[in-house]
Amino acid sequence: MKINSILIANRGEIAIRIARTAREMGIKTYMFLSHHEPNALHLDFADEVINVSDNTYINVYTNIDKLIETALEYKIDAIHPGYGFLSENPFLPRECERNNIVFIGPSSKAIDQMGNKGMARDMALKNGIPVLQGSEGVITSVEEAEETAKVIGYPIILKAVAGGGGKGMRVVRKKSELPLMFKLATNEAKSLFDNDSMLIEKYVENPRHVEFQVLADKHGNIVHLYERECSIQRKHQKLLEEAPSAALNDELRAKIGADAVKICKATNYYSAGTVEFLLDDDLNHYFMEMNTRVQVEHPITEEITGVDIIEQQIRVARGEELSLKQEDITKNGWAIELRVNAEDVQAGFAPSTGLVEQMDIPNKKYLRCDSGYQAGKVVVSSFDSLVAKLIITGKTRGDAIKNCRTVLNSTTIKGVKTTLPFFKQVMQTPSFVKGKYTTSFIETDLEQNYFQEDNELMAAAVLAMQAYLTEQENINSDDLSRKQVSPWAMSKKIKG
Amino acid sequence: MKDNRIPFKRFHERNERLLSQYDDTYFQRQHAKGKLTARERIEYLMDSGSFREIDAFVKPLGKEDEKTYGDGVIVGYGTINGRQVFIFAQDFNFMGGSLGVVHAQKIIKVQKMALKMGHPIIGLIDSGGARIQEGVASLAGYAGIFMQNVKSSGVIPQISVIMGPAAGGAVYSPALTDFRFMTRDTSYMFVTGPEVVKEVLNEDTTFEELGGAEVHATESGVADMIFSDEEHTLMGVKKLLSYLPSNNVENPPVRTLEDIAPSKTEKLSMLLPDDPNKPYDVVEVINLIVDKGSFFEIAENHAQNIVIGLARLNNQVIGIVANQPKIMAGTLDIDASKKAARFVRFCDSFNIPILVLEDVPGFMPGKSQEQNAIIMHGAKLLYAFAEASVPKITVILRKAYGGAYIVMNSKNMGGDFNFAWPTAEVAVMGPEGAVKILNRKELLEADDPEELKRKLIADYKENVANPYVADEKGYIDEVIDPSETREVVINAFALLENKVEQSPTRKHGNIPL
Amino acid sequence: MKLLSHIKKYTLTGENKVNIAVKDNEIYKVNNRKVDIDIEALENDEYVVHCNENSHVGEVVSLKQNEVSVMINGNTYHFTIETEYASKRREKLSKNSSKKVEKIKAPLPGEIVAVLMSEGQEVHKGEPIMILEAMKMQNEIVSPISGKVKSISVKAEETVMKDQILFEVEPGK
Repeated sequence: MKINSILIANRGEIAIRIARTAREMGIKTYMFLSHHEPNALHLDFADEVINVSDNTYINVYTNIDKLIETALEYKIDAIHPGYGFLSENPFLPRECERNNIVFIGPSSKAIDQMGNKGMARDMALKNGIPVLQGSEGVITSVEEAEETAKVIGYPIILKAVAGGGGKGMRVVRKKSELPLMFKLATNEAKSLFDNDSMLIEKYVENPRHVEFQVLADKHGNIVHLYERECSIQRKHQKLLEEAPSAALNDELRAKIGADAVKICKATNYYSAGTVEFLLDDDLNHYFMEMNTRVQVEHPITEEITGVDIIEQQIRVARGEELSLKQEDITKNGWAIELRVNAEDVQAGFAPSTGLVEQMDIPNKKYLRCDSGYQAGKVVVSSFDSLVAKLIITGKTRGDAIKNCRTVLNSTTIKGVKTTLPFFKQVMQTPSFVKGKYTTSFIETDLEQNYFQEDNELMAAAVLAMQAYLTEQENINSDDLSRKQVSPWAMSKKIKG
Repeated sequence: MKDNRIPFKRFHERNERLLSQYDDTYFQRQHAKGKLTARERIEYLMDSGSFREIDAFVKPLGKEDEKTYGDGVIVGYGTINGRQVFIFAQDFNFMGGSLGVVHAQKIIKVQKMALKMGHPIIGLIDSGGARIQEGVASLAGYAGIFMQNVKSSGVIPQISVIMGPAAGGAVYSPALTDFRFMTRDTSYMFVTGPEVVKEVLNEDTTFEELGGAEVHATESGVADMIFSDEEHTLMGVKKLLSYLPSNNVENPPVRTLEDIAPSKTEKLSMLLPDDPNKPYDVVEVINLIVDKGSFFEIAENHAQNIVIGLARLNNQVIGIVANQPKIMAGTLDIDASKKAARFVRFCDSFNIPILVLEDVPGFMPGKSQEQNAIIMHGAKLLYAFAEASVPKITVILRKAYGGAYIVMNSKNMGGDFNFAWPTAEVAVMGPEGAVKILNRKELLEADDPEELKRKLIADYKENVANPYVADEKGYIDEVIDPSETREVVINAFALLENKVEQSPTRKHGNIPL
Repeated sequence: MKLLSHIKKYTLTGENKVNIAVKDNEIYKVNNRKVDIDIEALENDEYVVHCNENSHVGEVVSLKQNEVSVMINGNTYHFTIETEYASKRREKLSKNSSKKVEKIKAPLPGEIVAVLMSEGQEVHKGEPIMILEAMKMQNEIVSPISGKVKSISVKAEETVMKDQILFEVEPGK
């Protein structure tokens, strides 16, 4: 199959990321200009821009018909969905196949299978991969949930069957909480995925979240590109990832990696994917789910392995055989990704939209910045809040952390509030520096969510006080002068 | 140095006696309630040493043996930042600040002086109401004050500061003035108190619910400004005064500051959201047009779908009326119409030019609005704009639909300059509504009505709902780049500085009250 | 006779309390310690605040009456400024006055996806009353106090703005 052109059905940094590799491979790229962000930065990186801004009623990135129609109209060979949006929707690859368009990603069947948490879990069980104790089949009522929870024992976690990215999940610690949590989880699942079926699993307190990047071709070759540690999360949203994980030794790494490869084999998976595991206190690993797309955090893997994951996706989609062998894949150094989101950390990570007034990111050998924004661009509320990914490397973990601090101290973003003060705080927190942290890092290890410089509160108070005093002075100022009424107006106003 | 000659001796003695009235217990009684005394309030508000008290030695009617002077109110004049003002401050420490005949006469005296001399008058109100002991005479006292309020209305600025209770008839004097300021937690205004409500309606209420500052600042709109403490309330009065002329013949005072242009005015073109149905905060727009830090919002918490306030533009005072898309999409309802109408008339009375920032999808539909006479209340705003002879400029930021477009100082309602941003949508109604009516038949017959509707809406936007159609017909004077709004508006107001519009001679118009 | 300088004491209440003494309209002491302060204005309405040996870049975000928000090093600080005297008076006042009805405002703009309680219902502190969806995230809006739901001002599927009042809770007896 030839791929001479790609329709990038995504926006922001990932659209730019895909375009970069496509350009290197001599492939022509197409992107959409939507009414949401007609001046978006990613448009500068496309070979062709398709203007759909007239159509304000659809979100083009989630509209399969529109994507297929566009690909056919412009005779585009392939569609790359990026992450989010339609990336894990089995109907897109199905429709692509029907219309002879190459879908850059796994098969529709694989997405279907692995995207459904229940099926994925059964698949893992069948192949001898450890999973957490959980419900058999889906749960649709509180009563069922109560019964299952009784068998498994609290705490449990409710998970939307169709969920992903941390949505539609609720932890239940005792029986009395279940009805409310069930309602909340199903509500969310219903509104986001239009499917309110639930799974119940034993909840592991304070686990680590470790995932393996896999690559597989259509000829049965499968490799993994080592792991990523993604335990720094807030409400199941990843904020910082690192590769490799400080929790694994080579033996464990090989063992879990083998399990990751095994599950791909069992589903005849091809393209890039991520197999997620939980690690408990005793370093037992449990299969959680598989993400059948390129991940936000894929760059840290690229940095330590030197493999261009997007390139591999495209090659696999073309039907090429993987040129990588597991034993050739080595990892070098350490990489950390900081997700700079437009969020107000102090206000509980509330989205902060608006004009990016200033965005200065230093130029360093050890820094890769993947971003869909620059000064003068607008963060709109229609899309996610990711402003930039700072991917920082070092020879060792310690080096990488040191480099992170340097980058953070010389990065300035103004106009929207960002998670930068959060990362500054993380870099100061002992458990992170030691590499001994779990998914409850934010709740238990962080003193506060944002970094404060010495005397910062004092400076804030002083500035506020000065502003107040100036205002009081202004109010008390007699710098007012009378403005005479002009003779012209006077003569007309006064009558007879 | 004391002068012991007889006339001077008595002069000093009297003054000393008056001074001794304000002893420690005088202050403590109010302080215990978390309030300042009338004396302290005046000290705080007026320029140091400028206050001259008049009628200090009067005594209540028929109580010649009364030891305390003043009859519960301190009146006089002085300066605030060099501006002459008249003031009266009710003293709760004396018979609960209740209004007797003499008390009323003192107030009326300064009211008359203020009107005759053309200076603002400020009333600091802290009174239990009419003095029951004096009967109908005290009621007549109120009447005299109201009469004077009405005579002064539109001639000199009248500001009421409620710093304690104001109950019964006492509430109507503030109601007749231009602005009412209240202090959170310590001031109340109501016609009938909780006891009477309980007796008549058998309803349990509290002072706060009936007439607390919060209620009046949000629900009823009686309070124009609300402050956390008395000092800030009085500071607010000072600030307001800095925007007002002393009377209806003068122009508002000008500042001579430099470096007043807001920075980042280029943000103006980025402020409107991607989707025309998404909200934004119009106060941000205002702050990017007017002089840095000069916007003084009035009635901020009441009828928030419209924003009104005073500001400076190139050091000159202007009044601003702006639809607020972040509240109810900026739709005009009864409260918003009343709030804006009153403000427009105030500006017109005191020669304050008006800038309208328009983003209004229409009038609020619905039974409750219709049954409560949105027709008449909406007409107030219409009347106010049409009647106003001060310079009036409109900038259409986004939506300008239907009747609401007409009302918001449209060209044919007497707008002196009507500008529009490229994002403006001027039409009889929004695209969705218009398409449904205009193309009802086609839509019913279409194979894919949704698709057709989308196309029709796009066509409507292209052909109708934009600023260009109105511009080409002269209903808009110029379509401007948002980032040059400040310069354009400053220039237009400069042209309008000497605008004179003569209205026909009449006693007064008949505004749809 | 010795001239007394005019010193005024202020309390700034935010997440933390800061006391500032002002002498002749200049900041003189912070938390009862003398400090070296210099505020340098930059372009674009920014300031460099030199505080003892540290310096910080900041700006004044908003100033309304006695409520001031500033941004320092990318962090936002809100303060309510009162004179020590007014602050004491207010404390006295709040002791006297009855418990206040809590008004809960939308923390961010979004859509109400579900209202879980109705008016008049008893609530406990921390119980969710409605769900607000913003940027594809669902946020539970919980009651900050135990008591009774006094009023609910929004419906499901309604779009709300930041700071719009969502519901009121009356404190329990």
